[in-house]
Amino acid sequence: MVENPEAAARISEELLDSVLSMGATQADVIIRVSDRLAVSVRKGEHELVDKARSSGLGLRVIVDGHQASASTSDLDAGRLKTFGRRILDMAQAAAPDGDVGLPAAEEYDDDAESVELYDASLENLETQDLVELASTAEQAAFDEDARIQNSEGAKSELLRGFSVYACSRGVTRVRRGSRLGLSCEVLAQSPGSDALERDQWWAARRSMKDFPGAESIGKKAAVRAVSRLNSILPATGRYPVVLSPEAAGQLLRSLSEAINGYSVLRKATFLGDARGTQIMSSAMQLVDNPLIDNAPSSRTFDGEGLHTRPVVLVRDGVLENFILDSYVARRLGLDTNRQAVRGLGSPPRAGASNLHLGKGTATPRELVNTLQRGVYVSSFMGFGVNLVTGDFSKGARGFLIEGGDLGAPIHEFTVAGNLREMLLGIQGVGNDLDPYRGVSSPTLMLGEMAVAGGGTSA
Amino acid sequence: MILEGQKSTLVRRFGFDDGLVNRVLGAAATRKMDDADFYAEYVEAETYSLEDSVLKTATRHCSQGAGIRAIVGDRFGYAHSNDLDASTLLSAAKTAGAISDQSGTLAVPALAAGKARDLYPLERSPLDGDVSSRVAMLDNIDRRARAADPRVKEVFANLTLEDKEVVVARLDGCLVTDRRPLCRLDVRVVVEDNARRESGRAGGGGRFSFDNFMVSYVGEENRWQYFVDEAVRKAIVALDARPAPAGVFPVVLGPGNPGILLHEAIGHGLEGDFNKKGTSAFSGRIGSQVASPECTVVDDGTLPGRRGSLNVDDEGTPTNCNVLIEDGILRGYLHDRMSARMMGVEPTGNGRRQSYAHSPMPRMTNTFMLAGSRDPEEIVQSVDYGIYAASFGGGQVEITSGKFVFSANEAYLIENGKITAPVRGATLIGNGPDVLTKVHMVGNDLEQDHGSGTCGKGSTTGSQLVPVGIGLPTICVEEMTVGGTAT
Repeated sequence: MVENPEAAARISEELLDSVLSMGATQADVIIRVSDRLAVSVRKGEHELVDKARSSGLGLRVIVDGHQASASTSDLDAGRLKTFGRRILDMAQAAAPDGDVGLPAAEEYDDDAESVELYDASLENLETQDLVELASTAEQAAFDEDARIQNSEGAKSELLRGFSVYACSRGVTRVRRGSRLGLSCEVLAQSPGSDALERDQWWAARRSMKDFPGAESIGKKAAVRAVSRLNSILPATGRYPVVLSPEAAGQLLRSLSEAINGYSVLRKATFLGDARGTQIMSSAMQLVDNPLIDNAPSSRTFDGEGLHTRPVVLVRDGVLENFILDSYVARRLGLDTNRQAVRGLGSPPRAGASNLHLGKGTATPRELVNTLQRGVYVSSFMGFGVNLVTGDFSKGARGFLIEGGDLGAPIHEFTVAGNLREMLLGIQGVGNDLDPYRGVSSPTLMLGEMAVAGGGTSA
Repeated sequence: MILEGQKSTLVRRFGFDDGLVNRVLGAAATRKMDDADFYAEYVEAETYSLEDSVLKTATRHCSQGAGIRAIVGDRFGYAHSNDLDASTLLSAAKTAGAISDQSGTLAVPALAAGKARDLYPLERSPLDGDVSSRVAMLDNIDRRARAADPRVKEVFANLTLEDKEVVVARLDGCLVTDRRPLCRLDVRVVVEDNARRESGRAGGGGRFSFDNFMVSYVGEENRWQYFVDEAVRKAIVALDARPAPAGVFPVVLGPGNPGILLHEAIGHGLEGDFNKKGTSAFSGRIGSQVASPECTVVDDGTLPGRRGSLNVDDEGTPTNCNVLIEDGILRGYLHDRMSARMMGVEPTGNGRRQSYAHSPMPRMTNTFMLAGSRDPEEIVQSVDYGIYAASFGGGQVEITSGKFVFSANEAYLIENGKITAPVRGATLIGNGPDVLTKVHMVGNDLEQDHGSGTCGKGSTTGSQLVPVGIGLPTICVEEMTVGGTAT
């Protein structure tokens, strides 16, 4: 087992030397090591403890434009050499591609920004502390409302680890990271009814000082589950739609895939020709910022070892940038935005870090108040997005909007439209952006969409 | 006794000397507990991706690791590591065993193994064969797709080959090893006509080796050709698709892949862990009518070579054909050892885990509805206006409320008893406990899907993915909510 970043850096550099001496023209290595401690509590009983230390190594080799990647959990020096040999053989089989390769040497010259990613005080947490957090959250949910009768439990998890990147440009990068997460999932039941509803709430922070109270997480889970009771079916029709931050975040994930350079390269997105054009209403700003202290997806270097920086993707509604790593940037004739992400055994791919949609000034309630009649979507379900055409049709649950207020909870309905029109039709943006989510949006008010449900019109 | 073949797996693959597994279980069981198990796994996998008519990506993954679990009632301690040396395993066992606060030691009997059946016999490793054979097949895929129709503009193909060996040992003396091949091919094409772009995808595989993509399949000369032709056909159909209607309509589900309805609407809700806790929409309903009398639904892990099949589950229990619903009556749940013990029934062979880093939980294997008596054409003819769904992408369910949703990637209107125009963007939503009560016709044409299903389920040790199979005859659901845009 690799004990520390220095040892991991040494293993990486030795493996690089070894594959370069066997004929690789370029190569890079990633090592990730993490310690995990998780507990769960259900109905006050400490139900599970899960403890693990894991490590893995990823290797990419390039031989004159032929590339192959691999991962292994076996970091024994002798066996790594054999492993490197096999990957070189695999690379020979891949088609040569002149655009494959590490970023140019001068891209590695700049200094890193300093970002807080690791809280050493979390090292002191023990199993009993995690049990305490989970118990407190679950108990708070039961205390919040008598209709909370059952629970799937509360779970807390502590992750600590480090990641090392080294490549044949002579660069070695190291970062540490930590994360404390707490989630609570409970069931609500109305007296005299069989119908059960479940909902959950969670929080995860890199630093203890940002961690919200465990009670607040349990309470929120309870309020959410209870609010679903006695849901009705909406009637089929066209309604203006308000998306909760959670539902808007799901929309944002589809958008980020649609503006990913790889989707553009593969002609797999309706936004392939949209750079420089209006894709959202003009009040909208979308930024990928990897340099926010203690935000979940912050990173000081990307999956190719380049120091990161914030990238404005959408400014005043105009698409300014695709999400790019160095390969796809070369293919599209652009510069990398240093957004490479990396599965351990996969070649780099472009992906956002903290993807945040700029907030507006209205409170969520003020947005709802502007509508006489509409549908508030708490969350979407299922797949139902075709990025080639922008067609969007998902299951949903939420609330009717009646006379400017949230009315009855609704479920078992679908919301459909086209992403292009949905994005251009954003008419209101809330002030409720959560900075501690990797993909985060405030409440959004969209134009009219097709809602299908089995209810009858009032 | 330990059979020679299993002994060789323990030593050859994992380097475990005689008695190590016993010692690890013994280290977990230094206090009183109901059960404990040890699971070790070795995985080798390769992927090959074709894009722009060339092999674009080749990757290789090797991983190994072991997990030890100690169980007291419905509580358990779990510890895992990808380091397999004796001291790490013994220390992990102590960590797991600490879940028990009752003093007393359990004796570990000598581990004994029986001969397991073999649902996926292998003459050689699924990874055997040189890289050029993979490249040749991918080249042929690219050529066939582009030759099929001039509107085909892009072809993507992805081949995954996996060889997994597992060892399971339990406190009751059970010891099994299982070698599990898993291969899958996916083909996606993008077509363009008059500036309209659409894509189509098809794929599948099973527990067999790479050679199986070359054997004849569904009337085609071989399996890969079938996937290519299907992907192209679906993409071309999509070019003519109009927006799906929105509202409540009769829905006819075609045979095979639409079996995802059973998986989402019924299957998850019947997993024993939710029912043990009383958190499923099906909790406490054994023996009651949950479907129309036309419906008999089973979960069968014993189909040879299928993607969801297993010789034994990940707790060492042999898989079964479990009847979930018989003539509309709910007969049973899917159990792992823990949920079975808590509910006082026998384990059903459904204890599965994504990897050594995850603890087992009740999961589906191959879930399908048995064939009925109706001619599929008669079923379509019975509908005046509705939807015919031939194929689905993905689905999702909320276990407690039973609400499920899934998205069709090939669907048509039914008008006056005939399948007419293709529609796009058809998402179906419904309520698990209701939907099968509305199935009033079941066809005689049961088909299994082509072996591309992967099921995700959240758990206390993280969200877990496992390969599954689904199947369905043609059925008619009297009414479902269809989420299109045409109102």
